[in-house]
Amino acid sequence: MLNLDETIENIKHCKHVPESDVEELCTKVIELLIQEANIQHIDTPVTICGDIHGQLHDLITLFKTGGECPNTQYLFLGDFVDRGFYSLESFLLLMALKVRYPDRMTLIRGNHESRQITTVYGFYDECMRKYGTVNVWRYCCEVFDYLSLGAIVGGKGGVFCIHGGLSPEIDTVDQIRILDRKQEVPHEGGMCDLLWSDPEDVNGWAISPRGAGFLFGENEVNKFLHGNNISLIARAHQLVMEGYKEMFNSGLVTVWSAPNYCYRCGNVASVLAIDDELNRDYKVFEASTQDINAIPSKKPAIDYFI
Amino acid sequence: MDASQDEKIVLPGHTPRRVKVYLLNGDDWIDNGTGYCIGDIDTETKCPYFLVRSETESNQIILKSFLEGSIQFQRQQETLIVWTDLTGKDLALSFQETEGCADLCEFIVKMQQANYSPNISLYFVIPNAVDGEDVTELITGPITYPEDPTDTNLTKILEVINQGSNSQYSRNNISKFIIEDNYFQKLVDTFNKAEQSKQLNNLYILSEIVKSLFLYNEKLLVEDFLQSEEKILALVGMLEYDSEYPKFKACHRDFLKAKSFRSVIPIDKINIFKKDFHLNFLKDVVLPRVLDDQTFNMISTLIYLNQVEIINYLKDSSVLESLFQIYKTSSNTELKRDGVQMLHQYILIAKSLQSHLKLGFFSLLVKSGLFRMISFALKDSEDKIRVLGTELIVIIIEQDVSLVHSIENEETIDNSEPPTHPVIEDIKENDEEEASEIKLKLSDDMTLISILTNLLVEDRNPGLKIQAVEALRILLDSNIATSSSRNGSGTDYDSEDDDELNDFKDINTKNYFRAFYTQVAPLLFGKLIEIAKDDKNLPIKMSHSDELLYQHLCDLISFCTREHKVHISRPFFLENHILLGIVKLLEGNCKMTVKLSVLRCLKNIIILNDTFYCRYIINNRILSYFFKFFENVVDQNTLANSTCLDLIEIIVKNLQGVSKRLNYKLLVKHIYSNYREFFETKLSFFITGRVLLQLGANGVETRHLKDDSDYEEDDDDTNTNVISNGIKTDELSLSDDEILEHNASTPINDEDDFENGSQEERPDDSISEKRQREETEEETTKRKQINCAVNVNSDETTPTISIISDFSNGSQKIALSTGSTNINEA
Repeated sequence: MLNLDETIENIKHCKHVPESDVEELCTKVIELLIQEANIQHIDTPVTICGDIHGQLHDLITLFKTGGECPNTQYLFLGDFVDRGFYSLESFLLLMALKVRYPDRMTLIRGNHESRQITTVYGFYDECMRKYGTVNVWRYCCEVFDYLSLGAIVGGKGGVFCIHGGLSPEIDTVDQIRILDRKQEVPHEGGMCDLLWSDPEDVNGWAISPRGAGFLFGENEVNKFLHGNNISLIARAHQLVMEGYKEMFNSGLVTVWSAPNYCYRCGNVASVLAIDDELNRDYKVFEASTQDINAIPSKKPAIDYFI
Repeated sequence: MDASQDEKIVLPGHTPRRVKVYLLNGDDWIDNGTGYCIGDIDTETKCPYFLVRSETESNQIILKSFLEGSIQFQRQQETLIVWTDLTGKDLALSFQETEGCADLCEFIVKMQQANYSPNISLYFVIPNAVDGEDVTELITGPITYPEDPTDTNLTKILEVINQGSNSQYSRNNISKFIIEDNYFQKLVDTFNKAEQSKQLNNLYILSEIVKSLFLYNEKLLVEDFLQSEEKILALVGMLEYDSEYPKFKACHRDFLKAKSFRSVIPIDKINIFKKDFHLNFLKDVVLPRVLDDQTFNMISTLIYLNQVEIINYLKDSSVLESLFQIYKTSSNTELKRDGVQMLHQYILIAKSLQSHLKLGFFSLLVKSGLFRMISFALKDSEDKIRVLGTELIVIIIEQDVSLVHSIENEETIDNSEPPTHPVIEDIKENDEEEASEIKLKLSDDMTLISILTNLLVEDRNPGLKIQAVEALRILLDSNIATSSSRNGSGTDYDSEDDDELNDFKDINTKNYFRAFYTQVAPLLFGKLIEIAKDDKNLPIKMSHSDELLYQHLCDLISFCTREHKVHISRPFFLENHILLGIVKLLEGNCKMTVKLSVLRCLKNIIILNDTFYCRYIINNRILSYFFKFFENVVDQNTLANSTCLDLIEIIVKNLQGVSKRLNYKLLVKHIYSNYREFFETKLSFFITGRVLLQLGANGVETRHLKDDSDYEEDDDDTNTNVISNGIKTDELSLSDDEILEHNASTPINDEDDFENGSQEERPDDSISEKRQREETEEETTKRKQINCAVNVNSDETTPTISIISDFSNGSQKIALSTGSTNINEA
């Protein structure tokens, strides 16, 4: 049987978590996620976090910066995995905290929470290396499918939180409700756009160079804010060197929570704390040096047969 | 004449090249005249020089400048050579043509490298458009090589190595020097001494030296580092130290020393296997922070090339034979398990190779007796081994499903009667000897499918269930007969390999799928069939394993009903009341995940737009289970609620969207007459719900919702008239009685006739059936056209929006083509 507190400690120290524990954890998280709406409603105060990308030690720094869970309530905007060396541990830690403190931890889906993307950008290989088979990856992908697509913080006049951005197919938050989100991220359509789009200085909508989602301009943001009685769109998905960046007359913010992204971009990271009056407080933090402590970082756990 | 021409080609600088000569005076370049430049060597002093003769008077020499001392020549902007001579004069030659400039530069290189003027150098200046700072690259010049390492000169060596990293030229030369001088061994000795005498600072510098050398991006250098165990250990040892993190030290050596290479059978070429491990260890563990993209790619290439060698070795040696022999003769279970793990490891390697290599290897595995190993693995008591065994199957059939049939290639493919008893028992009853030779051929042999079914239904390991489903989906792909080499592009392996595969393309899929539905499907879907028969069979408390099973079954139902020919699959699902079986789960005491899988399956069946399923749903009041469930979650904003709304949305959207709408009309009518109140009281917030009510109230006449003037004649109408046995069925006035008259069982019996061999035109119902199929084909063609239109663009780096016609309703739709390679960045 899974001992959560012990597992959380083990994950933080990068200890091997048995495959059966991962499966059990995934099953438990799914039971919680299935009760959530496509767009979750979250009370203030809450701390909003952007991309993590497998940088476990920076994630631990993040919790030190923003306050430990459950004392601080957290909302993570997706992209927990890929690129970093500890995708699995990062995602396991977030899942374990979610199961341990369901009301204090909300996870929504990023474009990397997808089978197709993780096979290319590292998470698949990491699971393969650490377990010798990809079943752990399969369990996690099943969880990905159940993740909410976004959140609204603070009710009316509050903050709309999403990984990527807006979609030309979606004018109102209510429209998102009529979606069976339990599926692999599609290549087009509303659900895809929410996870893939980027804000840009364009008129209306433009084609995204990413090959999925759209670029959307200030006008679209204003329309969406006004039409849905929202004061801010908080999203992640793009590296910002300063950790956060407000755009469009402060109607939209990009929050980025992976410092020194890919261990070489040299950026700082931030989290955004929203208080009961919807004031924004950006807490900036730098990359952890602790990472080196745990080297070998991608140690192959399995025997080599000749 | 010929000889002089040859000479011109061999020696640069001999062809006179048109140039302007400039001299720097203060800040201005002064034009000193135009002429022809050659490079030559003074016959007496052997000192090379540039000579420019005036173009008007060939006797007049504009410039004679020696290439001497440590003059630095710079080539700029393709046509300029600039330098400062020993007297301090700044000179420039501006060539009329790039070729001329290149020629004289080549002359400089020759003179330097042939030791005429060993201390001169030539740099290429590349203008940097981004931040305005030029980049200079050394083309030739004297190289400073690192001196032999001692306790005290390491800083200097590091400097030399770093300096050398600035140009390809110096990197090449220093790399060559290091290899030829066995220089790395000297560093290793210094390292060992430094560690013994705890000279921490030297250890940090050695680590930096090695890192810099890696970034030289020289394959030969890396191979030199890996030449002996001693070198490897010292290499990773040096990299354990990092001055940036003085408090920490990695422990690569401990890991390497503790690392067990587990040997399964004797192998003579053990070094290539170790090299694979060491390279991967460097790439994944030791160096990830150090490597830039190019070096990372270089190491990946080394790994790849070595892996090709490994696979070729396995193919050519007798290793595979002896490996599979173990499963015939040995009773050593541990050895057998190790063998499975070993092969799994190499199959993963092979998976990443080019398709002809991979295919050749896999087909050799199958021929050499792979399935003996798999049959051992699948029966093993250790979860891990069963998982690996299943994974082997999945990888092999993912690559090419015909491989699993190639064992029996001497036998003719079909026409044998299906075995009368379930094959799965066969395996269990068979003694060791026979079971070890699992026979696999497509026609009607369900052995493999039965094994996988058994794993899915009985095995409690969740991962294994998923694997079994994946394998089943591949084996049950309707294109199984034509899908040779699924993953390979199908064009890049040579025809020799092809021949042996072609034998298996000719597969009688009819027998194959019929065998599946008669022999395996009843076992696979057995639990659902039982539930459909009697509510008592609903599990009171469902095990986790069964929860997963039911979810997988729902997926498989969606898959089979969509992929398989209706006349083979549909009778099975209708006669066994599978739909009833799944919706009953909505009432059972099971997890929400299962129930939502049921809803998704139901939705997929509805999307099929199949008359028979549709009538089945209506006649058996399948939706009553759905609405009962919906009622429980209607007030929540949860995934369950969204999934329910999605189902309604799909029905209404399709009614408004697709060209063949009768089924959706019937469904809406059915919903309206039975669940209207629910919509009115509970779903008033839901726009589509209101639309449905309106449609129902208007007798499902969508035409009223649209603008009459530009609305196309609905081609459904003709279809409607013949849909059921020639009775005129105005879609709006079709009463429930009428629907009931043509319940699902009638057409199914006809299908049975069909199975008995009468493939000719059938009267009555066949008309509607045939019409439907024709339409589907037509739709498929259209869809293909659309896909083509989209795919044309997918190679381009930027995605393009193509406006394509949606043929079904004449409106235009924008499709975004997304090449998967474009998905870059976060």
